[in-house]
Amino acid sequence: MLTLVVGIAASSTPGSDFQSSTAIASLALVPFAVWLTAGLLNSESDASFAVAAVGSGSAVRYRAFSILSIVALTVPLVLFSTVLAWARDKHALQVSVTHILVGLLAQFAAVLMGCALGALVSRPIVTRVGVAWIVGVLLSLSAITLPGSPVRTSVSILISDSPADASNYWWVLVIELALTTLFFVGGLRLFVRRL
Amino acid sequence: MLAVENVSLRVRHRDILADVTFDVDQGQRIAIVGSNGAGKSSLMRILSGLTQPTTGRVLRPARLAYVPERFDGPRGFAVSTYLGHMAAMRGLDKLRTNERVDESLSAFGLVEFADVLFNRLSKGTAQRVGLAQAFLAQVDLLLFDEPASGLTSDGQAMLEAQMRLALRDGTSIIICHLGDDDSRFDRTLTLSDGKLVGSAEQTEPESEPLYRVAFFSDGRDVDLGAGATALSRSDREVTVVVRSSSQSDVLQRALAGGWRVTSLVRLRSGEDS
Repeated sequence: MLTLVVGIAASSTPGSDFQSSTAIASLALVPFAVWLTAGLLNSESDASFAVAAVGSGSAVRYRAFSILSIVALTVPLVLFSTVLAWARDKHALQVSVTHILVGLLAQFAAVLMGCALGALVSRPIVTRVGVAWIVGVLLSLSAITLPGSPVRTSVSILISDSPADASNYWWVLVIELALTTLFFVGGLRLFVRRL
Repeated sequence: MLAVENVSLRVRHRDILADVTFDVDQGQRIAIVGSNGAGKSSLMRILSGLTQPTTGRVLRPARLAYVPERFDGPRGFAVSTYLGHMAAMRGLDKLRTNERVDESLSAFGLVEFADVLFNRLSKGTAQRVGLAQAFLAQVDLLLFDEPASGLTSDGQAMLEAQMRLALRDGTSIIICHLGDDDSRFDRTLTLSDGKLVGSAEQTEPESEPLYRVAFFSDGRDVDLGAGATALSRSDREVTVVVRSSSQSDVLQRALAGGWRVTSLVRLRSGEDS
């Protein structure tokens, strides 16, 4: 959260527009979600996981529930960053509901991407913690910088266009969110198959 | 209840389990024995659904509980909080959850550890918590991987008592262990190098023979000890049932007291009159 606040605060002077701030928040959310997911999943011992997975009736169900719980943990963070971005916009009263929804979509796409990557660098796929962090950082950077990645696409839309234009791209963000969700589900399936 | 059909497990070009087949009926207590590396723990993980077999299939009941050889629990959780989560996960409502958590804490001697975090528990106490969570709700099958590991004799007695209650309710129990005390199990499956090499049914031990002994007491009173159970008594004759192991002691006491044996009849096993 500190990273996110510093990112948003440092990226713009007071009065900068809402979209730029939510773009920065989206970028910050990717490594944060990777760190949160990998950290929480790795904190559970194999024995503890085994007992809970059997007790819940399905290892797949239990793991899916764990990761979705982590996604849910980030909801307050996304809402907080959205409010912060809105508060720093000098034309805050002119920010429309559509702009806010576009900002939220972009941030949730970033969270889902981060959680999927976090699951992929957790045990049992990557067993060594040091390797997991290095791979996690590289994957986070790739998600942010590689052309065509959902996060980069949404950030590009938010940064490059005027508020009026960006609101016309909401459907692009929906598609990006869908693609990220597919990636998330794919990552989850791979994770579960390795259990 | 549980059917294991031609299950094999191959990991990194090595056969861990090969063509294992057996089934378990409701209310049975089964032991899986074998040396280290025989494949016991791998088989337990397959039975629990945590590991998919390379070939074969397992038909298992819906409600399972599993306790690994070494349970350490989620760090940062208090014992009672953890048990509450596990009870809720098994579908108990809030009221029943609280009841069962209290009962489980008591059954496994964990009351004083209810608010202690897992990272402050000893290995044996954490293992007792792992066992306690398995008995929170009624399940069809309990799977224990070396459950006595790290347990004191008190802990083992607590586990045995809980298992007896579960068996009475129709729960089946599979335990893998290295021990040689198999008398408590309905069947013992022996694994060696991933293969099921033996399946021994536990037969009822033959009942100790009983004898009906009649004495001429002539009115004298004699303490025959705990080995004799009185059947009838008149002024001059006493008839008792005596276990074979107590026979000589009872006869010695009677003869020393001046009694005479008038008849001695061996009864069928278990017959007491």
